[in-house]
Amino acid sequence: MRRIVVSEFVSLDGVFEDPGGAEKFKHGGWSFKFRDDQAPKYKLDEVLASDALLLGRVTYEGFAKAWPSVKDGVGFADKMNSMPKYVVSTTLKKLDWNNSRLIKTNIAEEAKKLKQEPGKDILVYGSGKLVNTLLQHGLVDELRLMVHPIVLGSGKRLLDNNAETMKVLKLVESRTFPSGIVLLSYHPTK
Amino acid sequence: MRKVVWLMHVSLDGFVAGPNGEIDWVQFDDGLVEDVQNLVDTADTALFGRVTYQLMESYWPTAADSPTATKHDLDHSRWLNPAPKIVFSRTLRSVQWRNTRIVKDHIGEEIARLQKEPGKNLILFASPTLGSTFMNLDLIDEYFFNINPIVLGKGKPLFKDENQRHRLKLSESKTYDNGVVSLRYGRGELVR
Repeated sequence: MRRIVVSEFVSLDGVFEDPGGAEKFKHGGWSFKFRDDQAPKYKLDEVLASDALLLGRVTYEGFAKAWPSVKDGVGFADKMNSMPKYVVSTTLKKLDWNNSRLIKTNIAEEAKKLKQEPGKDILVYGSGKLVNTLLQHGLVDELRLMVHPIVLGSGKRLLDNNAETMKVLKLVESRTFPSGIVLLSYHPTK
Repeated sequence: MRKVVWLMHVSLDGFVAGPNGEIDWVQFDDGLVEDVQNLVDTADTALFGRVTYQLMESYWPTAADSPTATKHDLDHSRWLNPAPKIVFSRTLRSVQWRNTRIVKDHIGEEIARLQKEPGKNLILFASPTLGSTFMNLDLIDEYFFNINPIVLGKGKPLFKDENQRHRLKLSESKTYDNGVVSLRYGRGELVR
């Protein structure tokens, strides 16, 4: 069965909003202050181990605007642009990005169906509301947080509305990057 | 100069206690206890906010007397009970724990004065509200956060009143057998 892998950039205070700076958040672009040569390799391996993106509307719209014009020579952008995108939204009318499909209702059911199809990992970036829905339904197979060495003091937190149940996780990997980013990777326990 | 070190156990979603102050989810194992004790041993003075102080005051003065006291209880009691303790509070009137004094105001000046005195480091235990105040005053030299593999969903947040960005410098990360990851940071720069 395919796995749903949630992969996020977060600040030390758990903020995941606008790491890239496209969303006009006052601290937008905060992840760019931390660069090294190993983190991009990790992210590339991750995307190459996947063959679908599952995204919420806000993240999708940001990506759909940015990625089609990106050329990077390493295959990351090609992969982003070519692989299937599943977008969860009740309001979105038009999907402008190549190979996108809309999920309007029954998110948990649709995610379960996707997991049963043959294929590689289904990758979720950003998409806070969707991530919390997936976590609540026990549909996340791996949660990867790239914890950046910065306290922002404000902004949307990734795990902010997951208040229904306390969840114990199993740490499966931790890795330190030269820029001070620490990857924490967990399997939610069922 | 004496450093100000902040030690904190935190959930993956950034809470330091559950909604009713629960801290029973904090996980220890032998390696972690040893590292925490070694960190504590770099210090000779304990700093607290009021809430953490009151919790500690209700436990540590007699913790070592209990027949069920653990090795950690005994070791930490030996350090903590005789150590000079400072609780920062505007409302607290009196303290029962020995060698404790209350500081009501002028936090930055108090810390600066303490740092000029000879001695080992100053360790701030938990105390998230005071920790935020310390961060805003740029008083913290080292951070020692133990990230527990649990999502609490709600509770008392570690970071809540930081009024500016703080870039930190990762000095070490260490993974323990129980899934706790300790993230240790040094002073970063204020990013305005």
